[in-house]
Amino acid sequence: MKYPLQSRRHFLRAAGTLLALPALESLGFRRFASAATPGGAGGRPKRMIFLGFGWGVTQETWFPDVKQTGSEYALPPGLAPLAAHKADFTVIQGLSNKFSNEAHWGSTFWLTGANRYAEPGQSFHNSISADQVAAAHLGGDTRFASIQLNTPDVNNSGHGPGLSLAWDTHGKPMGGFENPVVAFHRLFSDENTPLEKRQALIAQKRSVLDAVLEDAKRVQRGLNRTDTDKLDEYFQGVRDIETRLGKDEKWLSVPKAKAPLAEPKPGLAGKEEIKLMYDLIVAALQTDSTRVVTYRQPVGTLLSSIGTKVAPHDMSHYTPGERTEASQKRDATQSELLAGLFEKLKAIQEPDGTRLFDYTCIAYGSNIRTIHYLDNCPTLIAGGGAGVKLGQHLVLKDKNTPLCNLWLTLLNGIGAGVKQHGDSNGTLGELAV
Amino acid sequence: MKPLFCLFLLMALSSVPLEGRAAAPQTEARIDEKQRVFFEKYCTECHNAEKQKGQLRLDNISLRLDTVENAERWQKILNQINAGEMPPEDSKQPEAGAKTEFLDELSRTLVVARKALGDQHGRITMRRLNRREYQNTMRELLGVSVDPRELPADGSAQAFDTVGASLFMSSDQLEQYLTLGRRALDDFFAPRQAALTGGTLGMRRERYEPETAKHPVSVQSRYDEELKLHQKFEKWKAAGEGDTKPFGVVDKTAMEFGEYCYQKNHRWFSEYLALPRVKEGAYLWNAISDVDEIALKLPKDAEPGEYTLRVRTGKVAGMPAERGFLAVVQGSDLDRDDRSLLATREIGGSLEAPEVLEIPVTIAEGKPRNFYFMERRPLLERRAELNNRWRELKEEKERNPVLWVDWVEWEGPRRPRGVVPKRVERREVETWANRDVRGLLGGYYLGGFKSAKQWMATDKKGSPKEFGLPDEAEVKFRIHVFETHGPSFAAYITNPLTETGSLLTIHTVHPREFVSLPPEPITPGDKRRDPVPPGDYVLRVRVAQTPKAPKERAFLEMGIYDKENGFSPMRSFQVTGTTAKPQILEIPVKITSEGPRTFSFREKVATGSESELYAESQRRTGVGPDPALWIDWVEWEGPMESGRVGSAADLLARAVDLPEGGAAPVREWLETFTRMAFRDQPADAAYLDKLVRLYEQKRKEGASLVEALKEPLSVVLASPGFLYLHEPVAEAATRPLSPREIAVRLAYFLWSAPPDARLLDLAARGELGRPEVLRGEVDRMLSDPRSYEWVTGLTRQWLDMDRLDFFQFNTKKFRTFDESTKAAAKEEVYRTVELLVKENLGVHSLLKSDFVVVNGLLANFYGLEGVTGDAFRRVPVGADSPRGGLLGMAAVLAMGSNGDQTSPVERGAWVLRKLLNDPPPPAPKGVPQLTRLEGKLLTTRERLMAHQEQPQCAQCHRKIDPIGFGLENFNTVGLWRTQDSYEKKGVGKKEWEIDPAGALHHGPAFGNYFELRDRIAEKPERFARGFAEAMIHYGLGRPVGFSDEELVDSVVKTAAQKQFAIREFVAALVQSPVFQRK
Repeated sequence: MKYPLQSRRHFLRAAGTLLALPALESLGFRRFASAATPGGAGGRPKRMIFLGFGWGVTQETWFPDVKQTGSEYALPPGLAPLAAHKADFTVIQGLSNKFSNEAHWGSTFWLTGANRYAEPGQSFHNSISADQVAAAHLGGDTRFASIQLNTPDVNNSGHGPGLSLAWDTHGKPMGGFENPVVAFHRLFSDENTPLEKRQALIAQKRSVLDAVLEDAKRVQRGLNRTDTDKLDEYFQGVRDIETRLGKDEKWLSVPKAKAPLAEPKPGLAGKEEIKLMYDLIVAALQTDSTRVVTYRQPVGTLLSSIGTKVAPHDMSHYTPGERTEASQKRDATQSELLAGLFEKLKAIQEPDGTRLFDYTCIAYGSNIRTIHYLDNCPTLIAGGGAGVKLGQHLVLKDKNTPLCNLWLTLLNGIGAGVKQHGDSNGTLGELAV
Repeated sequence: MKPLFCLFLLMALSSVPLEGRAAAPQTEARIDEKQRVFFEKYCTECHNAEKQKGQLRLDNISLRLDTVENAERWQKILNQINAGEMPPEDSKQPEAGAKTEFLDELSRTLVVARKALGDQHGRITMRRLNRREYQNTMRELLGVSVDPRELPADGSAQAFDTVGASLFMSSDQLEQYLTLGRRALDDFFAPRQAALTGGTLGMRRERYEPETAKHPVSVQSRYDEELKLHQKFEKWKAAGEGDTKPFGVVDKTAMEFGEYCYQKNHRWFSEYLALPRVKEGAYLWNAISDVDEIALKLPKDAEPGEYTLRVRTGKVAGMPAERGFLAVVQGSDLDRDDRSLLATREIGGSLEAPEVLEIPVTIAEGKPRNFYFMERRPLLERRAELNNRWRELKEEKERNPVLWVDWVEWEGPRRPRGVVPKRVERREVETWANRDVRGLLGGYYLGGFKSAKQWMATDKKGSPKEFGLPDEAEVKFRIHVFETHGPSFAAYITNPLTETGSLLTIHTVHPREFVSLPPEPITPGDKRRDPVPPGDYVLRVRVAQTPKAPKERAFLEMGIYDKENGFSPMRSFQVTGTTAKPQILEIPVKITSEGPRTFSFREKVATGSESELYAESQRRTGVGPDPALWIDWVEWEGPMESGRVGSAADLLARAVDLPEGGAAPVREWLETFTRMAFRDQPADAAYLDKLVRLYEQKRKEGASLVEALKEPLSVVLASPGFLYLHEPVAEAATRPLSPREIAVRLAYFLWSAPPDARLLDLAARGELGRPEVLRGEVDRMLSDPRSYEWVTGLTRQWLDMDRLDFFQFNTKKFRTFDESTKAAAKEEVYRTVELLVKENLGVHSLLKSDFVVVNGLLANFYGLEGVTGDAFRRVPVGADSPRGGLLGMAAVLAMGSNGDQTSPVERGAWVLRKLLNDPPPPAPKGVPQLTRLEGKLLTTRERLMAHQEQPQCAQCHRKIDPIGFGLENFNTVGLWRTQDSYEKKGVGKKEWEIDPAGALHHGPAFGNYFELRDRIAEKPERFARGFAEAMIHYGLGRPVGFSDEELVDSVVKTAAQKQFAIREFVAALVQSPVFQRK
């Protein structure tokens, strides 16, 4: 699994340039891709996208009729903008996180299924999110193991605690880019500082960590169990930064991929922000800068960007009239944006006709169904990445099926080979092709 | 008779355990054995040893919820029954009453179980600083403010932000601490370095005169423009509406649009331009776009920091009080929704005497830097809507403009304390005074006199011009004035007191002394100087009565003098010093960049009477009145810096003096800083070594001394010794805290900030262990302004104040509950608790009191007369007022709404939780919605009574709703009403008289709100207990468990002996062994 990097660089050197990084269709990309784990669409490494949208949906107009299941179902108005892609996604009803009990937390436990009260005496606990399980499997060979995108509009959007959709191995929140311009530069802009300087910078960061660890050791002396556990979070934080530095060091001499899009305009919000973030997601996957992306989407600014004056939380309690209209308009706009993402993923094609969409798995949903309801979480799965059955409307027999069963199914679909995720008690046989 | 008797008995029986529970809470989570009957009847048929439907067996389930697993099993059972899924539809259904009782019992037991299972048994988990504490600690240490919003939010709905077990750390957060610490150090050093290298302090100021820029000029030009278009239109129309081009207009549409605008605006523009003082300033008038607000924009290159906004404004006389408020809004141009309220100020000035208001503001990278001044109003209303609505108002008092603005300006960045060197300048006044008096005497008077005499000596031959005098009249005058005033001048010069000081004569000679701050010259005729920065300064005057001065003349007056307006007095002082023992008067003054910098002193006399007094004395004695006041010297000092400088500021500022070469001084210096940052705890040698190495590495790379020092310093600010409150204790053991640890715990409890030098000193000397010293410190700390952090931090979380920001209020319906009122309503709660702390009042005055703590804005909202100004203060209210106590506060009532309608359920549940300390179980999830009521017109009470038809709802709502109904006389935003209505489109409208009567569940009845408030206020112990639990939770950093009952009891009991005085709660906790042990 180390070769792709080597060979890619060698290839580039041989081609006489370090500047132009190949677009997907170029020789370079194929060489890279084909060297990765075989299996799935054309043996290409899989990609995963998780999109979380906070305050649920309008249940009456977003969910398909439960009586129409399988491939023959009518798209409800909330999903209508996705009509062109109907054969390429599946809507699932009956999934939920059984421990979730916070009516305003649409994202905190969405990908983790954790029990907030699992630690006696603590008011908060979380565990690793599905994207990070995927990143552990897919992230070894890319510059970024995963990319978390976020929005500045978190407070208004019904996401709940967290810094992004992602939670690390220890259930600690992982930060994300809330500014598309910053994300763009992180992904595609090489630093101007000379190599030695960057190496020195990494060395210096290590010395900083070394120093704080020295004091942590002092503080650790004579602590009881509980306090030792508490301080362990600090030690873990230091170790995680070290891991990141290790990865930075490995990629230090490799120039970043050439951006397949122009530097974004600053200051976009709402609908435009989501559109731009979707473009960045496509670009990140297309250039193989990372294979796992999560995005915690804005809802509040989305509403104002489509000319709705209703406050987001008010909208989530959609009483008939203005609030319901806003809620439905939000559903339709989100679906329209998602359709745009699908189109872009489909437009990136290999000469053999394989599309980026075909080896990417997209999960789209929220832990909140509607108003304050946390069961039947709205869930839409798309793309060929996990090899699951698409074009379906599934209404699960057990309407309390753990959402984690879906994550487990998808994780195994991309070849992660995990036996358990969160509170899963099996995979979704209904999704088998 | 018999059934009635039974009913009585039943009520008596059922009310006893309830009261019992409230007094001494149930500590074991056990479902009453008698509920097993319910179970056997409806559940075990399917869930038994053989059948085990859904893998669930209930025939042998334990009624004791003593493990997490068992409690979870019962939670699932509760959920199933609540959701109406069990028992299944086709099987036997329990009757409503039994089901209600069962659900009641089960959900209550689950509440107990959650508390029991979450009991920490006295264990306090080590914790890091929360965001508030981090910000305060940085401020106390460095004197620099950091934006804690860059750190992830702390805690969550159920736990306070002081609970260590719920405060986490991650790699991202750790990196943020490094970044924030680094930035704070940059902020600390940058201005100091600028000052050292002789840079200007980089303070800038820009004033915007609205009438000279866009504003009324734009109204004038808009008026002219539209009038021109109108005239063209008239001509074009008269000419038969043909081609528009000859009239200079592109086409018909443009022509008609011009006329449309004219018709729409002409009247309003004319009205505006006819207003008084419109050429000198601008009105804020919502009827015209761009006049409805004045924008003040800070340029992109204005560096981040603390700035001051100023506005010179006054209000039109005779307009309604509620319109006398100016709102200042921060936001961006592009997005009107992105605006947020910065401040609301009540305007005290008038058009004739405008006042200058100052609003401090922080400018940060990436944050909006545009400010808008407007008449206070809901912020989100679209401009066109606003303008149109205003134009439709009928009443002139509602419609016409109220606020007039002369100018707005910004100034900054203010330099952190300790950067601008303080200066003192003293002037011995006799030098200039004598030169001035002698000069006048010798020049104008004596010189003129001599010339006149010389001309006279020539027998008036020739022209007086040859002697420098214009004509004979002048000659006569000069002789006259010299003869009249000369003796007064001579008397002054010959008075021995003028050898060491100056005398204040009432008229002519030397009527005033003065002190001038740069850029003004020190004395007239000298050079102008580099200006001193605006800020607080002190003037000092060494002054005495002259020996013969009568008592009534011993008053010194300070004021501003200019030739045009004469002397405008500001303050006066009684002078008691004598020439043998003069006194020094100290007068604080505020220096702004525009205001006066020369202050004058004179003897206090009635303005206008001076010449008369002089003439009278002169007639009598030949000279002016004997001077009554003598001044030795004057001086100014400043800028005086109010507030504290960071405790490490001096040390850090000395960094530049560290000798080059040799690590020892640097190491020692770092050691001192680390000890300060670690709250008087030493670091390890190995750690210090590593810090020194970081510094040396940077030096090697060519960094300057200060730059290199920032590296180890930022490491200290991200080290556990700084970030964590560290109280090591061995496993399964407890120990008394050291005095230093008590000082730290106490300071973070009451200030959310580190202990100050005094507290650490008391700890170091072992004094803090003495109960009376500790009590004294608690009082001192609660009297310190830093304790406001305790008030807000505790109150916000205890009373769940965040709910107020949950919903957006319908400002179309509730116009006066705009952002300004909402902010004031929230502050009312805090200021009331603050008053309790200041005056050590009983906490039960929060249930009912004969006062409120409000400012002008809120008093206006409540309809209380005679309160003006922005400061919150105690205002008495009568017994017939619904205000006085939390139940009458707008913030509390508004929290119990969804922004549009009242929510009796939220209000009732809040009262149970916060005032009666009898929290209802959390709202169940998955209860089916009541759809059968859709399309019906019902009163609120009718609608909610439907809740009580279904057992799963009735179990809680029968307790919650009656209280909520009792508060229905308050509308959504907390204003009094007697009627309510409900409207449904297409169905109709219903109106009704509000009926607040009801009864507490198993408790006393009440006929109206006032009685409800009385019933609640009759239970101060319950409220006190709830407060004590919240305070202990906050102070110890862990939720209160059953094992804390003894502590809670003793705190409440101690406080009860002092009428629940709020400081007694704090003292009782601080003095308890639990607080002093780990």
